[in-house]
Amino acid sequence: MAYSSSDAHDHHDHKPGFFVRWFCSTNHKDIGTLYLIFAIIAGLIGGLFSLIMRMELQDPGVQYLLNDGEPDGQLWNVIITAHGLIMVFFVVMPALIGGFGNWFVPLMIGAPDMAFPRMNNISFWLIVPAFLLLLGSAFVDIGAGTGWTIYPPLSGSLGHSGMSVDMAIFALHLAGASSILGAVNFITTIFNMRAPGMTLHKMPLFVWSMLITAFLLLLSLPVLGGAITMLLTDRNFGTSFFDPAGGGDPILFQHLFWFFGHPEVYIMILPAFGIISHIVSTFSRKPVFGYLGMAYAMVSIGFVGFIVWAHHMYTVGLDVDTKAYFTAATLVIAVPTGVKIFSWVATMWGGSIRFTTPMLWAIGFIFLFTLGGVTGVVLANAGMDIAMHDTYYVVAHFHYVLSLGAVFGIFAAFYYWFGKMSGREFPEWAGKLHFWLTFIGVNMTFFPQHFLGLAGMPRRYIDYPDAFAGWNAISSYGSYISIAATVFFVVMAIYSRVAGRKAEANPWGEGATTLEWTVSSPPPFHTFNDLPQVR
Amino acid sequence: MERRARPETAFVRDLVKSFRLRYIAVLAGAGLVAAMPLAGGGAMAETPLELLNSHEETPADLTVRIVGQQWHWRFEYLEFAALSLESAEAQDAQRCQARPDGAQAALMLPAGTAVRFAVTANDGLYDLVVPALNISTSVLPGRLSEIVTEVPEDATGRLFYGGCAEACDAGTSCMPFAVKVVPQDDFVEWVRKVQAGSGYNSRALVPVVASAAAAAKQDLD
Repeated sequence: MAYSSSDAHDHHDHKPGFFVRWFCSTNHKDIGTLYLIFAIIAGLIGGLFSLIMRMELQDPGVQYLLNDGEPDGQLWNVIITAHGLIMVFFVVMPALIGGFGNWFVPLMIGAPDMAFPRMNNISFWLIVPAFLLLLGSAFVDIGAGTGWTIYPPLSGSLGHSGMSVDMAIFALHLAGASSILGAVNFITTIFNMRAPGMTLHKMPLFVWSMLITAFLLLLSLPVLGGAITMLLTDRNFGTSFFDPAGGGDPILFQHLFWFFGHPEVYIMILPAFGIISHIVSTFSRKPVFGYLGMAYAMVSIGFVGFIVWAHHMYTVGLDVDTKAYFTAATLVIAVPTGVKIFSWVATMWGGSIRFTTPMLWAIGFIFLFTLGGVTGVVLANAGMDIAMHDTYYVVAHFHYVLSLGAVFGIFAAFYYWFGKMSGREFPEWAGKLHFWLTFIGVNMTFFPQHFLGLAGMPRRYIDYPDAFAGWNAISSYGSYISIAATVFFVVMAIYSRVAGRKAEANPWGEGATTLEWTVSSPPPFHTFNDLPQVR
Repeated sequence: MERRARPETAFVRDLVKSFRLRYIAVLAGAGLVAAMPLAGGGAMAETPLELLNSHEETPADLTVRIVGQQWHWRFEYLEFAALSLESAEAQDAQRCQARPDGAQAALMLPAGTAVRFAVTANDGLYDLVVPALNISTSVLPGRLSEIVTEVPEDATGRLFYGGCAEACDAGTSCMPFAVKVVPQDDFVEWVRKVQAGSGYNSRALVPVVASAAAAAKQDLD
């Protein structure tokens, strides 16, 4: 693609003062930066929880999470709940959607900013109190130890009588409102503010992925909002939507939750799909293979994502026909996902590949996401899932697609765009060291969990029969490597931001063809005051 | 690049390079991935859908009602009066025993029979699992989940472990129990012993077990 104009010069680059710039920001780049910083901080807190969990599980017996010398199962549950909710709502979503989405959707479509800049500000400043409410819930009463799925009756007034679950519910309300507003903003921006000449079928794939993600958010989050509001009234106002004693049904909550929850996992992975397409194409110096197929594969993943939710509930007593449907529907998702994987491989095929840091992360993503996808095909089968439901096999599966999929996507994007966002370069060796440390660490953490799951170790256990000891220890050692890599990353990112070499407008050469590479690094405060013409 | 190639290799190379072939390769690869589990019946003992159908209710020789509560299980053998056992109870959230006591099997199953588990909960949400017997079912208050499991003949004398696989408050990992598979005669003996131990006159009931066991044997033959 070629573009006829750009405005890298910044004659009118007036930045507001510190407080106005960072606390009352309406600039998509600044809000994107805020989101990224927020996601990194939340990621460190969520990572700390996983470190505590792995330390506890390293050896059989309860060593650390003790209350007066006795195992504290509630504290354990609070930690697993916080880890799950933080990683989903306050790390992956803010980083991919709020962070890279805000930064690069306007730049890639040649728009001066998002459609609703002030709503963008609200989106960010809703997620901060949401996070504080969630963290605060751990210190109120007994804490919210419900699992991230907040199933009643455990999350009802019987299981958690105090205020903590109410606070967690409000946290999800706020985070949900923030995401819905963000989704509205993205949809409007992408539909109305593309540069002249940029038709939907010329849009970069990352923008496609954000458009589809925004629709998934818009359609699925209200369902979660409804479910947790009903839970809130069950808890506080005497309704009994989910209480069998009053004619309600706990399974109804699970259906509502997963009607949101399954699209949610695609919300977390689709932006990473878009990012990986750009990186693979840039560093293979080839246009992405099968552009339209890639775009519509994401559309069909998004659509099918809404009609597979009950595959999370194979053991609740669905009848065989229902299970057969959800098995078949879930397996259908392998087709568009396969189209994406094979198209990335086809993009690399015959390309002149450079193994830069972002490319390493992208290839790592393709490999590990495929691995997680393969275990997903196993779990999709209701007949098989009975043996693996709620075991560590499931934990391994969803960490392979999220922790090693979405998070690898985040790091790939971070290294791909770090120069663009900060105007500084990171040391290449440091990026590569971070990659290899993380790659070894996460695989050592999560691969043995397949074995634990197949041997029948259930999830959410603070203590386990001694037979599971060996692989748990190895898994814990792996997590220490991953945590060390993450600390290294934070130090390296701060160093690069402060003292890195100045980055060029386009450090990646001719393979990087999208509009963000036509503006300077870092881009001026206001970009595309004159709209670029896309041919 | 301008390398000259022999005609036959040029043909192959053109084919490989042709866009259409790559599209077909991508689609065929994706299709293969999706079709493997559904069509893999030839290689596997049973296709996934056959496996699924095998979980549909089959006639059972014996019914065990299992009730989950914080934090242990109660096993009631519905065909036999006064035959109800409990897994080791976690006294409270603070006293968790994550290791099942193999010496005290709470659930005794006769080998070579089909056992129906009718599962429900008194308070919260649980998930009853016995991985080795391929049992996993949600346990809900106000609902009766039903599963039928064939206890294999070759499992005779073996000890399996079960537990809870759903976050059910602080004692999730404190609900393990041992499952022992015994020959049918031994099972009858065990029933009689437990009933006698609870002061119940079991003589009248033994024929019921015996006929159930005989029926199960006939099914197998």
